Amino acid sequence: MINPHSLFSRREMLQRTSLGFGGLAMAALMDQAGASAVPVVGSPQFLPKARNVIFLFMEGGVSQVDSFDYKPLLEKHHGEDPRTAIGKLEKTQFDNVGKVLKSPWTFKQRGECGAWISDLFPHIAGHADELCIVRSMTSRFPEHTSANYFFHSGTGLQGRPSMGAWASYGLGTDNHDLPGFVVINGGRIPSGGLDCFSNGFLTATHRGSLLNATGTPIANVRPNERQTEVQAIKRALIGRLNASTARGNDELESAIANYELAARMQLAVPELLDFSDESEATKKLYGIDDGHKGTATYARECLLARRLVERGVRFVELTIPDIGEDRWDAHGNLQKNHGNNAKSVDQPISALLTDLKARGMLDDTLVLWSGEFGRTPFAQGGDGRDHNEFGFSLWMAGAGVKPGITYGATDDWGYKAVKNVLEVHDLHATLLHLLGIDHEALTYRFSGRDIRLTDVHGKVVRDLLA
Amino acid sequence: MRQSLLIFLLVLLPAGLASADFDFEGYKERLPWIWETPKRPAIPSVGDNSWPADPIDNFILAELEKNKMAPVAPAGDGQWLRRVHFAVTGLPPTPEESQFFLADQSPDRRRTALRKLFDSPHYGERWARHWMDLVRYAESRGHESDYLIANAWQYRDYLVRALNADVPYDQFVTEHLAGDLMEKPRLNPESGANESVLGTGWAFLGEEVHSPVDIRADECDRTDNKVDVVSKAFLGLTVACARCHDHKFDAIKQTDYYALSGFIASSSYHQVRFESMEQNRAALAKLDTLRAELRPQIAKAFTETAREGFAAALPKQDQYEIPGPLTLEAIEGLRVIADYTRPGATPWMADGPSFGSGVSRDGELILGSSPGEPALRIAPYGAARRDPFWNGLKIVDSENDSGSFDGQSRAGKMVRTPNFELNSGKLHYLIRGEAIIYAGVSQHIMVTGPLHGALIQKPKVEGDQPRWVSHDLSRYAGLRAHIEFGPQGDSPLEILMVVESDRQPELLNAPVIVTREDLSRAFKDLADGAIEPANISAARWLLDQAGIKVEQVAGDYLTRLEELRKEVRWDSRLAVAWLDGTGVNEYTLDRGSAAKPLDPAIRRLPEAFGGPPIDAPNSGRGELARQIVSPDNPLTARVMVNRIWHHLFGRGLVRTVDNFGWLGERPSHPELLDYLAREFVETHKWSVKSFTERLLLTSTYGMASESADPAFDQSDPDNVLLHRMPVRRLEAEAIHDAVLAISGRLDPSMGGKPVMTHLDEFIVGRGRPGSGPLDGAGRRSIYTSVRRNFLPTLLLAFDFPTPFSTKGQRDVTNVPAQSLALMNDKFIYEQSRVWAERILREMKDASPQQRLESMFASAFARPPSDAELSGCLETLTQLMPLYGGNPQSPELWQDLCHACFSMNDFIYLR
Repeated sequence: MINPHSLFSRREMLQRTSLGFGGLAMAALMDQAGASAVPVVGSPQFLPKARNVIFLFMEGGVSQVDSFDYKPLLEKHHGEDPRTAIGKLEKTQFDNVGKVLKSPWTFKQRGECGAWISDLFPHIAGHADELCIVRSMTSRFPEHTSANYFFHSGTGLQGRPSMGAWASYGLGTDNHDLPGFVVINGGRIPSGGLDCFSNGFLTATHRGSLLNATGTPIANVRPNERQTEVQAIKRALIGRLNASTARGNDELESAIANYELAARMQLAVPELLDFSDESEATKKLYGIDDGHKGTATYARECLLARRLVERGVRFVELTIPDIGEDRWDAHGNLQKNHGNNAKSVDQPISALLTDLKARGMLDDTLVLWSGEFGRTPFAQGGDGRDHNEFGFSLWMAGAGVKPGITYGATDDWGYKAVKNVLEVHDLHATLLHLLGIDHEALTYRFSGRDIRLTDVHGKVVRDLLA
Repeated sequence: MRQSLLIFLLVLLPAGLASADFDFEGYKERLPWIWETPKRPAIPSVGDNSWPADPIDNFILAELEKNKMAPVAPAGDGQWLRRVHFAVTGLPPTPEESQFFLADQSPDRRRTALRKLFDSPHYGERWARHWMDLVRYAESRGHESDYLIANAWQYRDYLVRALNADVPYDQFVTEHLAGDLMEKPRLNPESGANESVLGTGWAFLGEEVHSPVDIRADECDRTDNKVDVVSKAFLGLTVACARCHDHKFDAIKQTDYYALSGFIASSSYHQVRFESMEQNRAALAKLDTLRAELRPQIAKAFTETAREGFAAALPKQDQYEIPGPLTLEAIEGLRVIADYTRPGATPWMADGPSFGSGVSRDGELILGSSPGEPALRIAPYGAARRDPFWNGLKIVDSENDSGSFDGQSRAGKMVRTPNFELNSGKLHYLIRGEAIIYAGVSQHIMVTGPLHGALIQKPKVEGDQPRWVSHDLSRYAGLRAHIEFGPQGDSPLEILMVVESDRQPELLNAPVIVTREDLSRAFKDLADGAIEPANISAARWLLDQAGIKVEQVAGDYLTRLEELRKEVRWDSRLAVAWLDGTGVNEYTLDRGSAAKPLDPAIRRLPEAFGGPPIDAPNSGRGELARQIVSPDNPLTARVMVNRIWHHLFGRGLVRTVDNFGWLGERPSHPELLDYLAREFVETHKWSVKSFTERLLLTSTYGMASESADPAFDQSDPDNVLLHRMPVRRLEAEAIHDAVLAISGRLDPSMGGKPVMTHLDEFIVGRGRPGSGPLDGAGRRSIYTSVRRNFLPTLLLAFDFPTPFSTKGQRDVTNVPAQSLALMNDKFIYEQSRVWAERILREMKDASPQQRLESMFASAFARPPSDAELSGCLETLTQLMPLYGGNPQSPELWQDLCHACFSMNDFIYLR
């Protein structure tokens, strides 16, 4: 068991660091002032398969029966009353149950593995042999906000640490000029707001830092001063005066070091955003200049994700672009909603997989694609689908997961997971395992309990591991 | 590993077996002191008798001496003054205040300075914010669309006033738990508003879920949060850990959790007319008295006026067919949930005076209240009956609830039923008039979105006769509920019954036949002022035929009514508050699952306290408060003195201020903790101000923060024994407010509606409100809105807590994002300019050195050292060419001011 409380105290750490404050990058980890313990585990427990995670969050809930979970029975019973065809139905968010609804997209078997993937994602389908598709995910909440919190933090409540925060807490960061958990904002912040990326009771370092795909990228990295040299002169004065008053106090000395880190961060961000070192072919592959605004935005997000991972950022999450359409939440007009959203993300995601692979980065980067729940196989009203937490699909690719497999199954309707049923906690346990962390050992004492991302649940799904 | 294995096993074991591991007595015994009333310890003797200024210091010094350590020298006066200014008001001393203090040579100057600070209204603002962390204060409900909590900020202003008035802590706690139930509520000395009731508002400042599918599971989560806040904030216990099973580490049973939940389940939410309620309570009593006094006279006058010609006016018949009494078809399975047709059948629970002080019974004589109305009517049936006297009540300057709940529609004009459990959920209301009806199923108040709109109904029953209105709540069968009735506009409203049955029972009011003799008897009854039940129908009919207006027979009734109207307070603002209901003992839930209720848990404090159960007919919160603030309660005083210590010293004697249990930390100075608890209750009579002032005057608080001896840092690296004062970073709000104070932009006005948060492009999401001014209108940060999903960036960077539950101990992080904020945050940069311009304006002809001295006095409450001065002057020289060589350039001075805001000496207290 990892006990963060038994590691070096701040003071010990400072004394053991022969470089003193010159080499204080690591002190960025030791951010809890006045605490005797370092609340960061800082290294994996066993050899990790994944160093980084890119989480492509499909907020709103992608319909499994229109994407990765092929159900011919829906075609056969299309238009029938689901209460007759399927049987007893669970309550749904809107309780406006329509008829059994077949998918408007055609399913085909793809790649050598022969996974069934629909035409909704023609580009991603081309990577079938890379994908580890799970068709038996479940959630506990049928409405967005609680389900978003649950999917991110293992609890359906506000204010708990998100999985990116846990990863940052557990492993620290490999790049001290950038935060360990970055959320690239395409324009649609999930229901529940920024708390989906919360550090919860973990210290603020681990909060997901929002990086806007367009506009000002990160809060407070652009100096207000009109002349660039002014800030450097000021910083020199601040450093000099602070040094003269620190008098060996740890706390004050750490604050001094933070100024140097902050200055480096200011330089790192423009460099990160500057795509001039990317080839035209790469930009084209992602669709940076695509005429569809959603595609262009998400292309930028995916390329930024690769660049962040290249620079050692531990956990990168992408929100979907704002295309004037609702998120994947197709309560009506499924075809238009899912069609437009898929058009935004399909090519960029495919490009990301291609690019990561070509650079050898897919070996230690885990890509996770999922919504917070799925959708009903029967219609809501005429042509929509309501929320469905009883069974949905996600996929992973890259570091440590078996490529070209499909795991688990829903019933014949694609309604409820029935085989190898997985919970969000299992996903979290597996994710942490891939990062080299035992999910039962990664704890933080809060409110009188040692709290885990997986609460008191979760099992590592060995069948998914390469 | 063992612990995770244990948790794993507990998960697998059935609940019954798991609790076999729970060792109530053992858990109590391993931490006995938290369950025992603190005893006054002896004051320890010390070697160095010259050091202690207060017995408190003896406890600190004795421990130091025991460990062969000594306290460091005292802090300088200037340092001490900066400390206490931030400690008490959260603002820095002005250069004038520093000068005045340093010039004061009297031995009592520190006490004098503190008196001034505690008298400053800024004290309340500072300490209210500490308290707001405990009650997870916010003004919106978070979740999907971050809906507004209407008038939440009234609770914030209540806190500021209560702290400034130094309301004793026992009273303050009582107001939080039962401010709505106090026999003598605390009144605002200026406005007469009920202050006490505002204290209960905290209960509803948590998250609320928009359209949860499982409304009961959602209720359980909200209750969990309230239990968590109550048990941590007041008692330093983590009772919410026992929601699913007996506590893993403390002597807290699972039933204790549900016993506390019952207090919450028994009470409901409302918007309270806190400004008018007390005045109108008195006016209602007077109105009742006036009418009781005058009713017989008016009836008599009525009969005298009517005698003439009345008989002549009646058609000459032997018998008359007149409307009969209202009766109900007896049907099988009819369940009466509330019956307002006769007094005493159903507990009377009303918000405000609009429905009088109780059921208006069958046959009651109703006096007209204004000219033109019939002088007398006879109530044809008993009902909760709206009295038009009160129709002029107004709500001013208040927000309404989000969604369709519409608390304003019932504020001060509501009747609510007892709590009950829905069986079939097919409810029928017998009413007349226009109503807005809220079915409080599982206390779901965030009524919006697709699912629960059915909780609200707005029926209209026109005409003279009541009719049934059905409310199909069968979706909620099995859940707990209460029903609230409010009127629409100025319409009349009568509520007779609430029943549950498969169909509406038929109403029978067959006409009755009366003879002229019956009418005479009824007439005589009227003259006597008391009507026999048998004569009611006849008397009612007679009155209706008479057509006599109130002004004809009222005597001075109408004048006296007018006088009474002047005593009514018609306008009021609203605030969030608890409304008491009937007592509910919450079910213990198997493994915390809403779907698996076991036996109800009788309301009480956790058993380990040893107090009696509280199975009251109402919520019982009053008794709960009495037990919590009893001087015998082992935790209440200890927890509070420890919180005060924490805020002054940066760390509590028990470091885990919200958890005194097993997984919390043990006190560093247990005897001192007990001494302080006894002193707080006995000597200081729960006065937070005088107790805090005393701590600030101790030698312990007065120590310098530099280390006296490196050896002490080795032996006590965390300074637990306090051989020096710790260096503390200012909280987010203190940094923000100090920037405003120093720049000169601070607007010291107090209270009122929040200033909208300035939203930069990183504060985004659904339900994003409008953005406010960058400088928060110059107001202190406590007045900036706290929207759960849109918290202010700068405050977050400095560890402003996410308001989800009690957070008595904020994080104090030290991260590069803070340096980035100080360097590049637009507010700080803008205020640097405001400050620079002020300096250039006010010190037009001063030398750079004089200006720098003034800046240091403002920002750090001290003069610059020679090295600092020369550093700053050199920087000025370096920067000047960049600004055209102009030594008066505002940009140039802005840079220097900006640098001051970035200094450690600005954001740290030494």
